[in-house]
Amino acid sequence: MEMNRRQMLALAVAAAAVPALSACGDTRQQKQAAEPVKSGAQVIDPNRPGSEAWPFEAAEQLNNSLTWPKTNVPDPASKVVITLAMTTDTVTEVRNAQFDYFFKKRHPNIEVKREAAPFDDFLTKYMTQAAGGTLPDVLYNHYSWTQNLIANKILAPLDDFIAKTPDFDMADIPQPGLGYFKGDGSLYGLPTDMAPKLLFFNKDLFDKAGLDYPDESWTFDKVFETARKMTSGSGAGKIYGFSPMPKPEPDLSAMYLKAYGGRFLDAAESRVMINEPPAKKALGLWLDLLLKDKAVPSLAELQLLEKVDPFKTGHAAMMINGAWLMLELSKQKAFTWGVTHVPKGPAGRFSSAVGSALVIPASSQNKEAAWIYINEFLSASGYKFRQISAPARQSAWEYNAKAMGLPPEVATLVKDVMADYASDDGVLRLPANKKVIDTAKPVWERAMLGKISLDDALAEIAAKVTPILAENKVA
Amino acid sequence: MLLETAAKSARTRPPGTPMTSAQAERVRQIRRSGAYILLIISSAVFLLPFLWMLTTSLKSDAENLAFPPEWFPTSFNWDNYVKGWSGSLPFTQFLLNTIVITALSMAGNLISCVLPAYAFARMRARAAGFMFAALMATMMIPREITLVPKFLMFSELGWVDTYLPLVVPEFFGVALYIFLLRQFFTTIPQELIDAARIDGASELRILWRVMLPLAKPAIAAICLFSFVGNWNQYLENSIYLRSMEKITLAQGLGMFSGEYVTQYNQMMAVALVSMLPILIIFFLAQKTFIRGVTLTGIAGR
Amino acid sequence: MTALSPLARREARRFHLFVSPWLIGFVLFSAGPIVAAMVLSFMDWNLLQSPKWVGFSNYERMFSDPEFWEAVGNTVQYGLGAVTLGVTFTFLLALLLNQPLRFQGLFRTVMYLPSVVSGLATALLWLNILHPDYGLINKVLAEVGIQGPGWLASQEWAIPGLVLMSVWGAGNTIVIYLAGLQGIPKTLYEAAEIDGAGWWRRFWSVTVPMMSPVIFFNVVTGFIAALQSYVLILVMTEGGPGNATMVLGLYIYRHAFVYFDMGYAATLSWAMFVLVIAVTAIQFSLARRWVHYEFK
Repeated sequence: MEMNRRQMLALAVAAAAVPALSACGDTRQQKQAAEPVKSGAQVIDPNRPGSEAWPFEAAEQLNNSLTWPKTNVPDPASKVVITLAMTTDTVTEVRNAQFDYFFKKRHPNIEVKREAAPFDDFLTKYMTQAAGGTLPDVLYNHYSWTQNLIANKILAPLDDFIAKTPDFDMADIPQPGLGYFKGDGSLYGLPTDMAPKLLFFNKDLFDKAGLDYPDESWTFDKVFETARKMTSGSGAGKIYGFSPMPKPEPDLSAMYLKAYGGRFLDAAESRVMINEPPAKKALGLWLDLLLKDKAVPSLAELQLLEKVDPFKTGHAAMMINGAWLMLELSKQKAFTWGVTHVPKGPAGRFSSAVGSALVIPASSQNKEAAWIYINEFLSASGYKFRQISAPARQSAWEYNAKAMGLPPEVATLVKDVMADYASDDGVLRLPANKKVIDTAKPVWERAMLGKISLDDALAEIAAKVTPILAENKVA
Repeated sequence: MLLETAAKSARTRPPGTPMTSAQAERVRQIRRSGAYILLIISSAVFLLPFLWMLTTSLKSDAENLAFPPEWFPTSFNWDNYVKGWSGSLPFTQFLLNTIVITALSMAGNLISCVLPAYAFARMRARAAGFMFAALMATMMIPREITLVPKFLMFSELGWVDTYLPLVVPEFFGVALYIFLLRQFFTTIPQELIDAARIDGASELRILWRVMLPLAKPAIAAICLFSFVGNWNQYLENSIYLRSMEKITLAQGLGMFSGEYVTQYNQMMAVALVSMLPILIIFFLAQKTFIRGVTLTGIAGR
Repeated sequence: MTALSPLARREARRFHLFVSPWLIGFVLFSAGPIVAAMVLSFMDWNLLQSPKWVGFSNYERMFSDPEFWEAVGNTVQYGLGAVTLGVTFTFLLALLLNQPLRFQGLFRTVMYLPSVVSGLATALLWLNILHPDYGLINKVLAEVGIQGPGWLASQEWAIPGLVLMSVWGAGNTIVIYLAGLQGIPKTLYEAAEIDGAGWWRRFWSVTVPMMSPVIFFNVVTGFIAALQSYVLILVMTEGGPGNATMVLGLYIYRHAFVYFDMGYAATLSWAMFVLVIAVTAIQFSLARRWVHYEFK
């Protein structure tokens, strides 16, 4: 009893003392940070941002070796603070802090304050801020969000800024990938990354099966045939011919249906086409591959694997995925991999070009400073500095591929695909896109479980999705 | 009344034949080993997540992807802890922030839940029933739908990107904790209160000297729930806190998953470290759940 | 209206004084947003434009929305499963943890572990435990010659799988039970023992009635939490396969924070409120038969 009261008291004292102590810690920290740069915004050492992965000296060296583009948009005459909300993760944060550090050196009147915003809750967080009327000056946008913001007049057009910046080479950015960010004749977003979908394959598994690697000549029929041949084993040792199974997702059309002349929705996203013969034919072939040949992972098999696709663990021979996958693949040692063009279908060869963008909210009070930042962040030099795996600027591909230890021919491959046939056509982006996917997916899952036939599933998807499409017409 | 039921039911049953002390000791021993076996089996099941996190936290980057998943580590990459904690983001700062928010909220909850709970448990008023219903109702409205209106309200006050919206409401009672305490207050024998009243004790004194000591396990439980809840709070924090130097551990953990890749090993390493304070607090507090009250001493009944 | 005695009036005044911390907070911080949520259910609001009044159309839409009714069914199923299994299983565990044995501090801490572990870790772990082919449960079942179900990959077994998981993370319920067990006067047990009551008798005549307010608390709040829960389901199944695990909480979350259809989300929230209130009201009315209070 006595003991207990003392314990409780100790706990209470500790609880009361903790804020006091940490408040001390706080002021000390702030003082340190506040002295040289009047920022306090960066908690990563503001005077020398760096980490084991991104040493400061190397960053400084690289920064000094690059030429930074000019713009006729003038620097602010007195100090302004711009706030940036881009997806924050542990891999890129230090690098971005380094970029900000050197940017501030170049633009002493622009203070940069970067917000904490992980991808998972990004949209929720900033839609809420939008409702409160407090968006940052520069905002990250996934390609599937921007049209909604444009329709609701949340964003500022960038065309004037681009016109005032001759250095900002628009020809270096793939035009067929900009549709997500355009509206009523203006451009509202500029891509931070852009990548086509490619066919990846596991060289070890092909060698073991004694089969030739996929190449530019391959058709979907050949992929199906090979997938059937390469499926083997069971349980934890099972090898799938292809992974994952196509399912309703924003670029289902571009990845799997257009090659057969089919589509999920029409280009205006106002009509469902998935139940029409060409799409039905394509999806039927996949459903056979799943239910009859078991050459793609079933729903049950994918359940555990969804976080880590079997292809990435060496358990699938082929996969269609974005070019950004190369970075991850190049870091693993479990198997050797190759990559080539996506297969052709009877109607031709198609790939989706998808990427995210930076936008400036219409409510921003510092649009010019925000533009100066975007101009440099999204320049070829900016891409080279950030060393990301799928630069939207085509001139940065070779450099970045080399920096990340990728073979030079993949840079050539990606640039060819982007120039020839990758585009935003058939990638859902209008306001109802998420609802369309969420509505179609459960029905398709029942088809994957063999509970309903292909015809019934597609008819049901059409019936359920059609009324939702009215929401794409925003007043 | 309860004593009566207990006594009545006991009386209807004929007393068993007395055992020798050796027999009694054997029965007790068998029963004890049985309890231990059950405890160990269930502990194994409950320990799984911890082991899983530990294993994952020790994996190399390449092993992260291994399939089928391994339950025992094949290599011991302790440097994941260092890399995760101080390799990129200032987790020490996040820890301090989390401590500030948690400590203030906990203090607020404790201060503000006791009085209403006592009132709901032991006082009569015409509005009591209605107010109790309102209290319960606040628990039943999904918080997702009041989140945005609340945000707009605090945004008008200029409280966004401060700790105020996370801490200030905590000083005005939490329905769940009030309900919990009220349930505990109702179990305390009325005779104790009547005796104190006859001695001329004020309501506050009764609360302080009679009710609180007896409800100590419940208070400890509230401390624990408040601590854990605030420590792991995610959605609210993520909406209100915008500056990097103000965010909490739970938010920092979310940053191990990028748009395409998640660093599970470092994430689990940091998650384990941030769990430790909760486990330590629990280990200390659990004695209070158990050893809190000996009614006989106080009541003399 | 009956006149109150001065004594009763004084008690009422004191009641209001004591309740005021909560009452003030309710008026300042909760009442406004609740009223706003009420009004929102009659509006169309995407967060980006000013809300538009649409009358009862959100309610009409809800009543004719088959997915809503599916979600209600799933939610009730999950709630019943999680609470019945959870409340009884954790009570037994708490009794076990209350025995005067050595290392109990350690055992109690271990059983609380799952309540502390990060949601993502829990989700990944349970995906592994419930996996139809490689999962722990089905492997154990296979050892004794039973072919385990598809769990989260099958429409029939997905909810039972989630129920199983929920029981395992019920550390808070155990803590509340443990706290409650301390409040039972030892004298009651001693009296019962002197009268020759065995442990079963003591359990039913002393433990259960004395614990009834605490059991009641766990049942009521357990139902509220279970009917509202969605976070782990969101991470693990996203409502699938098919719509087998689409619970009401997840359906609300989707409309509020994925589609930003705040008006409809508010309407769904009030439907959930009615569901939770109905369940709670049933419990409070049943409580008169079995919950023992010292003060009425």
